Amino acid sequence: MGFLAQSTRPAVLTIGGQDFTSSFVSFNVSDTSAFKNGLLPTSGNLVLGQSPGQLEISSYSRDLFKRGTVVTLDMKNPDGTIYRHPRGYLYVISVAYSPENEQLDIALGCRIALAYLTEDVSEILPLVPISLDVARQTIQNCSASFSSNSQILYQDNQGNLVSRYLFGSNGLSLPSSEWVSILGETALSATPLQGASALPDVIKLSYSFPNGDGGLGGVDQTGRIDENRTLSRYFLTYPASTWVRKQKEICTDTDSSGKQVDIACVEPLPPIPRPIDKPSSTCGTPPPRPNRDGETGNSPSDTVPDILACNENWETKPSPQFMPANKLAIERTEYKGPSAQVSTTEVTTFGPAVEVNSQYYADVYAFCVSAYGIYCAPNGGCSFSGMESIEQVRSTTTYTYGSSNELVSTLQETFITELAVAQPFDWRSGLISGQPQDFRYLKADTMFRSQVVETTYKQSENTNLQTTTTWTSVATVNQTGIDTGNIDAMRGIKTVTERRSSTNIPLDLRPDTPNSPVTQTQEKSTEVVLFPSSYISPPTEAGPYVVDESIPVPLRVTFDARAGIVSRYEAYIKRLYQGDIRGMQISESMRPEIVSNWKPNTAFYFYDTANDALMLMQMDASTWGVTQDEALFTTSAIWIADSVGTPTVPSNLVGNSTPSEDGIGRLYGKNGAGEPVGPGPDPGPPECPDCSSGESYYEIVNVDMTLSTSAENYCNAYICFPQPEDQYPNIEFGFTFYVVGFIVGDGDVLETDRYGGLPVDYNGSLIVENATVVNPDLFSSD
Amino acid sequence: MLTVSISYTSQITPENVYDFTIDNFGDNAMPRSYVGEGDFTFSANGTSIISGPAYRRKYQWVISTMMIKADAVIFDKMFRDWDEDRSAGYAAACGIIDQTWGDPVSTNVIFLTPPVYTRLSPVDVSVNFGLQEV
Repeated sequence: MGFLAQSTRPAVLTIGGQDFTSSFVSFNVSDTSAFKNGLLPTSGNLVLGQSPGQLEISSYSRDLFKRGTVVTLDMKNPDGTIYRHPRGYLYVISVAYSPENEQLDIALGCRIALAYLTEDVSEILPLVPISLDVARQTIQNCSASFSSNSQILYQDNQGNLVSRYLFGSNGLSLPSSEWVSILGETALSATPLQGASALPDVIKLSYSFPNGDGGLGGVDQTGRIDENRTLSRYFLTYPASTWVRKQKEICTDTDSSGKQVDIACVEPLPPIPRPIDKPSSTCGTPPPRPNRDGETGNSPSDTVPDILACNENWETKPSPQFMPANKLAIERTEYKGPSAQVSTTEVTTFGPAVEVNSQYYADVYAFCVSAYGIYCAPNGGCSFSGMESIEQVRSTTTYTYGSSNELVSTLQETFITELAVAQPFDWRSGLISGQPQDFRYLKADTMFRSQVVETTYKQSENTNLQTTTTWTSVATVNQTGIDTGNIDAMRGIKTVTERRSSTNIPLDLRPDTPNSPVTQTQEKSTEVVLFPSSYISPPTEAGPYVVDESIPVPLRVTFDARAGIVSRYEAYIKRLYQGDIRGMQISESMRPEIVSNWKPNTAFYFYDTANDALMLMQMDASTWGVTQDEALFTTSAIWIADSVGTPTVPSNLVGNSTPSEDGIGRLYGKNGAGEPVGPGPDPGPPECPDCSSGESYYEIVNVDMTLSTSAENYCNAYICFPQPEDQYPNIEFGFTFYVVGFIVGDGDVLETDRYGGLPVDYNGSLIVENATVVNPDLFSSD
Repeated sequence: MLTVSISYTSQITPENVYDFTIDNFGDNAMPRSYVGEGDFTFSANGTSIISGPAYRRKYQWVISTMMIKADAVIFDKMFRDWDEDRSAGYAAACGIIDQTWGDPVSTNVIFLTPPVYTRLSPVDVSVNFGLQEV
């Protein structure tokens, strides 16, 4: 009995449908590792030699075989049947002729390798499991989408793109072994992957998902409208001259010599109001008329200055009026352009009309004061017009895009009120152009287009050309007033500016960068325990060793689907880290059980006979080599789980008949030679039918507990005693935790609600009635 | 009698069953020996360390024998059938029973070196070849 690793495999090579087997020298290709990669391209090279009578390969033009030409490699079984090599359907990427050894080197790649080269994701994008924002639809993000859902995408040996979960049938279960590798029997070599790298203890996994309660988010932000409002409150000085009556102050007096001297300013005595009518007769002799000082004269004829009017000791002074004002600015942006770019922006400002043309409102007020103002009422009771809120200015910008979604032109239109460009001769009374004109009251809400700016962008002779055309209203530029005909900007003054640049200087009028070209997201994190006791402390620096990881793409899925993706990714990243650390690089011959129905993540058992160690492994990053002498492969196998069982290694030898010991140089049946004992039938490949694998699970359970106490004041018949002060109560309490665990089969556990709670219908248990409970209490001491 | 018996059954041509018993050898050296040498060394402080493969050492045979020309032709045919099966991808091996010394050794072998023939006389041919235990 024995096992012979037979690596000889005849090959059949075709390129573009033509047979090149006689020119075949070597074939070496490698699959990309699935470690946090969703797309697994295969690439390598094929070497051809010059075969007499075959196609001449000495071509320096490098176009002997065009990119995309199909290359197939088939292998021949000993019984003559043909099967396709697991990576036997690839495409030409490039060719190069080596004149020194007269060989043609052909770079090969699968469809995914070609997609990385051309960045054409049209065939891959419909297959991604988690949709991508329009701005994120790149080949790298397609790969991230697959890995975020714990999946891989590869091209099989028929040219088809195939996607599957990296681990197990659903991303969570253990994979099933499909072949057996035995050290010392079938494995040509076995070396560890990571050497002596440190083992992380915990993975902190973060992930992002759309804002809102499980909303899918938009495909992109097309159609989105943003509006920003800014409200300002302030005070402004009314532009007109306003007056106030103020009491005079006496700051000079005369001394005894009659000389005027300065004194501290004092308010005079309140004036004595003059009676309305001078009495015509009195009963009796009227008292002497009082003077300013209150002294009485001796005769009525004494001259006493009369208080002539009620404005005695009052003066009129200018006094500015401060008025409260509000200003509202509204900025509205619409994203209706291609790839959710800005299509239009509009900025509108509302504010007091008086700010538009202060001279006009000053004149209105002065006109009223001149008509109705009196000495005692210098403002004449005139109102402060123009404080109402009007639309002061409106600016609209429209963006136009080309066929490649590039900005080609912008059109900016500015509207202001006619009042803003009105001149004094438009409203003041007098002779205007020889015609008498009464005072003209203008409307504050009539708008007109004061300026139009059109900017176009294009490339010309390897330079960036920016052409700006500006139309400005004559009323704005020349201050011609509002009665000069059509004052629209398009009938105004036109200026054109050309700007040519060969560098990437920012443009003058750039559109706003797309606001939220990708979905707005929020982030959460969870922890995955790998090895809970792989370090000792002290020293404190020994652990825990925490590695930060994140799910590569935002989870633009429903809330329920998100939980599944996160739990699958936890298992995915945990198995990748553990598997990579305990992985083995194993070389094997291309046995039929390995190459049939091959996929990049084929699982197998690896058995070390000397140490009786059986492990469930999974193929990854396989390298395939075929030459004229041998066909082998090497895989960087990921460790999945330790297993129990003993594989069987049947003999695969053929032709090893046992000699009869009396045949001397004879064929059986001739010259009387004895009959050798023929070999038995081939019992089949190595197997492990009774082997099983286990997996360890570690969970971090956070239990939030709160405790609150209250002190109540008891009242009796509404008579309450006052609360005592400075109370320091001692509160003692104890907690007891217990956890009960069950190991059940697939499908024997019900789901909790989305918040982890037990539905009432489940009667406090998640175990279904017909569950096969393996261990009723994991933490029992029994 | 000290003999080495070799047998092979062709896979491509199943009716070809070969059976040879070799009873003469070119020199006094036993044809059977072991593959590889001992792995023995000392550590930095003088501790004896022995290492080596985790399996028993395989046998190898270097055989030089004399056959009549007719037998040598058939022997060569056996080698060609074995080699053709090997090139087709079969795990082709020959059965061997070695009774040259010690207990008989019955195992499976492959041709490590192809047979080389030397004409000794118009009738006799010297056949030299090497076998490796599987």
